[in-house]
Amino acid sequence: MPQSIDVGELKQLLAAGAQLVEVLPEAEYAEEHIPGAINIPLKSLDAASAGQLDGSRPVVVYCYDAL
Amino acid sequence: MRLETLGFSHVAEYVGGKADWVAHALPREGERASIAYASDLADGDPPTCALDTPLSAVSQLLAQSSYGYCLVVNQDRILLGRVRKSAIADAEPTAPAESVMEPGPSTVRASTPANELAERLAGQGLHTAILTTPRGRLLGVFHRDRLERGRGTSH
Repeated sequence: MPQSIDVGELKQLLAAGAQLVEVLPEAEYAEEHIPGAINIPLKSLDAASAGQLDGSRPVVVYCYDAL
Repeated sequence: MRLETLGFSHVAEYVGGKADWVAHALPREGERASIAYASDLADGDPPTCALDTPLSAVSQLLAQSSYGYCLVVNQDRILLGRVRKSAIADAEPTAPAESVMEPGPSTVRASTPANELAERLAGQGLHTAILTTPRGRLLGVFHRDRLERGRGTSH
């Protein structure tokens, strides 16, 4: 299970170099997203799409509210 | 989480998500990023006091401000209540703010679109709305007039 974090912990992780992934559909990402986030919609999350992430750095995923 | 099955060992979930981020009045990107939210037009420094602040001090604070009320917060800036100027007039000056405080005033999320909030306030004959985070931390006070001045329709 991924670690659950709040906004304060998110800021700390981002400052430490974490990668941020919005898993909502592309249209919702285009409308609005957290600065620096990339978009990998949950339905298209596979080895190929995850290949753009650096496996050596933490990854934080988020949805609209709770996943 | 599928990322973990793909070999990512350090995966975290920001449980509050985009809604929580916006509610904290943090920056955002995208096509809708230019839409003004309540937090974009809020006064982040309204008069505040503690539960034990003497009413004489609250009165002085309000005399130097355009507000008709003082917001009561704890040390973490969690909103506890509101002291109206009218409630202080007949109270003992040494009494604490808590003695005339209205507990739990209505609040609005910072992520409410400013236009929508201004219309809602106008419909209720109100001029301001208190903005807090989902956990109740005071972010500021939205003023309907600020938006109307921006539109050039100030009354």
